Amino acid sequence: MKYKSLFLFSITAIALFSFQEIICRYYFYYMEQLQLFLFVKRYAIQVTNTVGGCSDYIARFLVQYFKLPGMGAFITTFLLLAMLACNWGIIKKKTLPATVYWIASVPVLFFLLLQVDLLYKLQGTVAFLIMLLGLLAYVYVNKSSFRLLCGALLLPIIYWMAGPVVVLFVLGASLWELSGPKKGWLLAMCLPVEYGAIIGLSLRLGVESSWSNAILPSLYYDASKVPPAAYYPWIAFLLMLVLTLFYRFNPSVKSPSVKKDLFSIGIQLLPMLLMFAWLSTHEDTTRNSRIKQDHFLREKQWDQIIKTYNVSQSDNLQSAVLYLALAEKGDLGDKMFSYKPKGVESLLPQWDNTLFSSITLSDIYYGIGDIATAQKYAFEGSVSSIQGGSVRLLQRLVETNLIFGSYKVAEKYIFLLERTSLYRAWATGMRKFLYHDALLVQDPVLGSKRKALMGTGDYAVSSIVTKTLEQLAVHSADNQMALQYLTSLYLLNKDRNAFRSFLERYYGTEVWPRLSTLSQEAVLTLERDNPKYWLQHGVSLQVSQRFKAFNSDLSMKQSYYNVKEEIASSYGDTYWFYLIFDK
Amino acid sequence: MKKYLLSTLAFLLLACSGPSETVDRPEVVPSIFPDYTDVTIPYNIAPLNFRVEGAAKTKALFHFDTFDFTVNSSDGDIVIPPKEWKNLLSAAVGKKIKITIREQVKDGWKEYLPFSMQVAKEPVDAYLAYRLIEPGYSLWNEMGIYQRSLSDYEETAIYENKQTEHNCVNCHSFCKNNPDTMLFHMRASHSGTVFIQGENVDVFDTKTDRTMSPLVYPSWHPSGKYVAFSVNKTTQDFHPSQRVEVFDLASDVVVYDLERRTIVTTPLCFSKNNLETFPSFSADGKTLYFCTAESRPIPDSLFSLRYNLCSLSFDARNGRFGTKVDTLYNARIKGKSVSFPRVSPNGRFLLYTLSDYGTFPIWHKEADLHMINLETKEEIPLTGLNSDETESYHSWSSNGHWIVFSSRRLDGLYTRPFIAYVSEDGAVGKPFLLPQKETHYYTYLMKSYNIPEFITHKAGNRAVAIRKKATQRTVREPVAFLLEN
Repeated sequence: MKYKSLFLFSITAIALFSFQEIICRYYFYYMEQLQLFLFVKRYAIQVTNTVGGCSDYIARFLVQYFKLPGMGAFITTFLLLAMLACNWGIIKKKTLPATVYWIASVPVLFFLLLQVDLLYKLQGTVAFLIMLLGLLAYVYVNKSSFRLLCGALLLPIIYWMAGPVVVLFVLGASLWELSGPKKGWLLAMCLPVEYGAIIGLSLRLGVESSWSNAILPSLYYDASKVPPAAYYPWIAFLLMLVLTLFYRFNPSVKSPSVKKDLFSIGIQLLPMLLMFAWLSTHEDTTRNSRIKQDHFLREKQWDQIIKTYNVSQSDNLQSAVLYLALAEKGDLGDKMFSYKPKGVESLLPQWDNTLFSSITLSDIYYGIGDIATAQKYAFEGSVSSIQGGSVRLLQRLVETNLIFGSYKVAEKYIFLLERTSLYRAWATGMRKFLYHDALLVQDPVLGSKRKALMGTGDYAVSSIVTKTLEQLAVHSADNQMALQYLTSLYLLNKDRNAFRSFLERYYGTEVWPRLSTLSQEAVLTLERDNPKYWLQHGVSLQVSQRFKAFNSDLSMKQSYYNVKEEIASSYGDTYWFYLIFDK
Repeated sequence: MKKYLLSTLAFLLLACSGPSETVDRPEVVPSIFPDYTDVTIPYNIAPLNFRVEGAAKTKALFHFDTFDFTVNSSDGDIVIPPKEWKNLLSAAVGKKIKITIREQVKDGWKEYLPFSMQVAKEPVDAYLAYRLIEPGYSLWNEMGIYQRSLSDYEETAIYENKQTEHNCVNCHSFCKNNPDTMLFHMRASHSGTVFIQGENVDVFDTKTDRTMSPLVYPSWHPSGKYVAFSVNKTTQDFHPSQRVEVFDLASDVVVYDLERRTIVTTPLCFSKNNLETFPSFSADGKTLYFCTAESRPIPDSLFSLRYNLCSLSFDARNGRFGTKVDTLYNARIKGKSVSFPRVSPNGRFLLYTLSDYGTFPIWHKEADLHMINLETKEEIPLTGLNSDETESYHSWSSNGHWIVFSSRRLDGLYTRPFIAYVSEDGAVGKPFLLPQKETHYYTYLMKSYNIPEFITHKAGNRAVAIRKKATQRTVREPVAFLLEN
């Protein structure tokens, strides 16, 4: 029996780790960047000095290591296994056999559902484990009077450490007492009464803001409305306890025959397999591709972004990241229309106030060189971060403030990052730029972005994006990002007058030495019958010949009912197609 | 006495017992943060802990007359024992205390020139109230109105927005520095103005058909029967040179009569042709100061939008306004824009903020504090108060000898509260940063101090009552609007 339990446990551990590493890897990376864990006493006091604060502190401590490959899956597997062991311990106290392993695993498996919710906080998992440890301690006290005393003491401790999950401790302990031999109902009443008094006091002191917050899992969600899935582990846990009692009082089930074969083990592992299967088939593929792309964006893996991009599953933010990757590779001006943009929003989407949008737009504008806008989104994202600060956005704020020469603010943020575990070295590396303009301008990234600010110097944040891009393009000729975006924006806007104006001012200068393919295609539409103009503005023979072919094809198929599809098959990646067919 | 003599002796002995006997005495004062050198402080202030920049093993000798004590530090942080500090300040009321810093260096000790702190005879109010919020562009998350004991470091919440779904809470205001008569607004969810009068809490929806917005910038009448407010159609935008530019498209000034629950106003401060804002009652309640500018196309003419400082008489007996507007600061002639007028409790001085243009100077680096002597109408120079960064909101202590103001001078972004002494004749001492127990406190703090206001005693915990009123929708509206002819 002992070996079978060990085997089951090992199989579960391996399966949980593997499943999470495959399904949740990018989720872990995403969650890590949304918090700022500081190794300082005041941070510890600040986080723990509230209801549920200890669980929050432990969770934040653990989440910071999600940055390391495999650590997210390892840590969460460890937490889930610890829960499983506690559940098993509680069940075993009722002297049940290992064949009821599956009952213990069900509440745990529901946490897998929560794990992939971006609004769920690991605090909920840690809090649940704290509650289970408390309940385990409680049920292993045999003498009822001592057990009652133990429960009465544990209740406020668990409440303070873990938050509203303590309600499960109260209900669990009460169920336990109800299943006891005598006067169970009397004991069962004690803890609920005590908890009611604690909530009442908390409400009076303003520690809690409502009854519902004290008994529902809203603390573990960064959302005003908690999804139904948040209740599943709680309900499953209570059902587990009820089933445990059912087994205990049903002699026919209490002593089942144990078949030591693979079939029996398979039955025990069935809930886990079912959960894996369900999660695999109900994956939120859009969200998953977003957080995966976000990881590539953070790591500047431009090829991966382009390679994994799926036109049909992408929203504007994702297409904007794709276009950033293309621009970083210098291909935006050649390949933009190959990915079916849906207007300007595909290139530079509107900010929708969400954290995800803030992070992405900050990266895009930083890449372009619009530092003020990148800083704005970094700051707004930082303010609205789940855990009250984002390490990724704080890094961005260090960079933008260094570029602006706001050294005192940059120093403040560096100071904070130096008190983290995994960003200390990066922060210390940035310290050398503080109050050292000469060194900063030599840096290939910060220096070139600082140089782009030199222009007229009168923009911090401009609401007219083309004006900002033009200023950046003109004043940072060595950085073609702004130029690529500006010309792409003109093309997407079908603003041929602005395109012509810019072309005639800057083509052939260091600002715009060479036209991309799409820009050449646009030049042809400015002067359709003027090959001299084409030549003067760098249109290649290949592009002009293709233009002729396009016109001829269009004339021929103009009467077709499916003319758009017909033309798209050969010219869907051209500006001409976009100009004519994309409304 | 014996204790202090022993302390001095110990300081001298220890100072001479380093790696060598050498004591270098450079003719400079130490570089300390916060800069507490030569500041004027109240005798009831919490210890002004500081750190000696770049120092490791350090000693600080605090000295006045026969009282002195030494603080030893291994990392340059000088954390002053509260009891000794209190005794020292009590003994030195009206005089100067002297602080001498010795820093251990490679070859022995370095003793800097001593610096002093002037201990004023007048105490400061017991608490400072403020809002803590990130200096963001448009979003917020957690924020709250807090109170800080000025004789120690205790900070408690007056109201935190976590009670009401993280809504915006702003514009807290107290009647004559009394936290038992106060108000603040809630925006977004559960919007309304929270009025607290003793144990009574009310939440009013103050938007009327005749006013363009709910009530905004407040100023209590000293009687506690009226509150002057602005009503503003405010917007904010990104800006070529400031981080954010907040401006009014339209605004008026009104007075809310709490007993009659009526809004009263006059065309002199409720006009479509002018923007009127930032009302402020005088200490005797007979005058209402406000800022006003001619309406113009905004934001196109934003750079030329400058506010005058004007006043209007007010009769609290019948709630009626005077018929003549006086101009104290003419923006067209002087070329700057006025905001936040605040009259001292003795009625002699008026403190205000001047910026190059516009109505909301908190993002204007050039914004500085200015003061007028209301008796002589002369400007009192405040050069020691201002910095290259923004100085904006300010308020007076109940005895009129202390002012607190917001400044971004530490890092250019996060506003911090500075306190300065004002003498009988209006001379202003060097301001000092609100002291904290931990010398790195402000480095860790990611929020700005907003609307610092002195209060005479600790505000009671009314969070539950406020939440209840706000969430149960027991919101009442002003019953009437009265526009005088």
